[in-house]
Amino acid sequence: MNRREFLSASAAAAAVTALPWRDALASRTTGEWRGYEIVTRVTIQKPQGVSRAWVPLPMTDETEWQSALGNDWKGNFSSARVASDGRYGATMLQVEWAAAEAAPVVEVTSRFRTRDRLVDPAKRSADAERLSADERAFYTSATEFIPTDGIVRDTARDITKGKRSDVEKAEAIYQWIVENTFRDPKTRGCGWGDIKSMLEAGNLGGKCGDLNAMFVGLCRAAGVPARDVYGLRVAPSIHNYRSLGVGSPNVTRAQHCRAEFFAQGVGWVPVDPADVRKVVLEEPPTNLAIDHPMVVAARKRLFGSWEMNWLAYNSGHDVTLPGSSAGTKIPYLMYVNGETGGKALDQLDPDAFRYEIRSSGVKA
Amino acid sequence: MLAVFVGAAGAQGLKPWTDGPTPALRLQDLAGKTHDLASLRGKVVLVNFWATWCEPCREEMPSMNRLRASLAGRPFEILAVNLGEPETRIERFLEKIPLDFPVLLDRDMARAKAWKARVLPASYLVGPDGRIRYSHLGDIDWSSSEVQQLVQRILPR
Repeated sequence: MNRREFLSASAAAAAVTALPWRDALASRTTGEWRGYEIVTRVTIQKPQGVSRAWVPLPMTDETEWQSALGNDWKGNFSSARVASDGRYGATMLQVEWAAAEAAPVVEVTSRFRTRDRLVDPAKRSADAERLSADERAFYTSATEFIPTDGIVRDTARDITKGKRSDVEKAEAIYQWIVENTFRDPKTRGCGWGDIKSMLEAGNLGGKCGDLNAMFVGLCRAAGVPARDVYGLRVAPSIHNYRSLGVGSPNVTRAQHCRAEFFAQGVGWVPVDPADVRKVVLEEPPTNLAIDHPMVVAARKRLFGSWEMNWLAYNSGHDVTLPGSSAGTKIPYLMYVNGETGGKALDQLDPDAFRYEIRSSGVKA
Repeated sequence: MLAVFVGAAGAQGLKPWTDGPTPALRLQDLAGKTHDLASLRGKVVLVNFWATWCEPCREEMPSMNRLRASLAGRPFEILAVNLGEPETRIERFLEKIPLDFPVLLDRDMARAKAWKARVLPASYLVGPDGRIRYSHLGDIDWSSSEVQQLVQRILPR
């Protein structure tokens, strides 16, 4: 194996041992660190000139709920390097293949460990993380896809009327999202691109990228710092929610984003209103009522906690893919992106661009 | 709170346009041919912004085929502008729902922004003088007699 075929990014990666998937994941308990390994294999099916791919990598920040252990990659590329969006610190493997490469392929292995995250938003502490004025301004500012003016500001103002603290405002927005973001069969338009268009269309249907962006946008418009966190589900849920975990080691389509808001005296608080709607829609027998015990429990739990059967990639918004000749700018980096011959590839078209992500447990 | 309701409608859903001059529209179709709205002066043009993932867009498209067929031989064109989707995905969609009019590619969605098409589908009826006469957000039955009569009224004599 020569240098071109194999590059190793981290010695730490060698210190973990792979375990059978079920054995490693079934025994997980709350509060315990668990190790995972995900392998992302990307192939460009019909290369037309120079090809490129951008593979999201685990968040590098050390937190009490996730720790990166390292990345390896191998393939027939001409170059591969860890790149960052430069603004949010969203890291990715930027891969390029020469035009002569007939069957471009890269396989990226990432190892990390996680443990469940629980924050009581009512419990204030003198030691809590603080935000500087600059950070507060950053996390309350608009992005291209999350505007905070017009109908977004007006809606946020209505929802948070009479609420005083950051926690009260964020909780009102969370409950509003849970109660209002469903597809109204009478609604005949689709919002696109940003949360303002969703509100203007009156169509609040959507997946996590839409619903949690709505939470973040409404929080920011109400003056509460907030951010999305984009990632991937990697294991079944230990809380018996089939819809909130993965059912096999193949996690290719298990991308999921979550949200956080910042409360003074508390710090960053994890939330996930989109997953409450997912329980409503998908948890067997499906289409559960909002007062179904499983929905009620999820609704309570997902304001202040994340089950960490999930990997956090990054919190980047409006990400420009470095080195992209197509100049591709994406609202967020959660999926593998690719281009060939200067044209962006369709992530959903298996004839052009194929990738598979597999998850397994490892000793943490 | 969410006051904007985009309802399915007949011609009564078409709103007279009062929002200023017609933005430019010059884009390539799937075959690479460039279409320029400015070169269609003298015709009525229905400009429709859409995406394959937008259910109401999919629902109304067959009625656009019917409207075009009912006006065959008249100075009437439809330009369907797709919002930033890969060509392979659009081609697969057209295998299921063939369209009798060109699909233009708004790759960076700059045209949709310029036309203020914030909700899909978004449709604009452009008169023979190049001015937008009517607009509609949400789906509509383009083959209804009300819509046909309205289009007939703005066709050049």
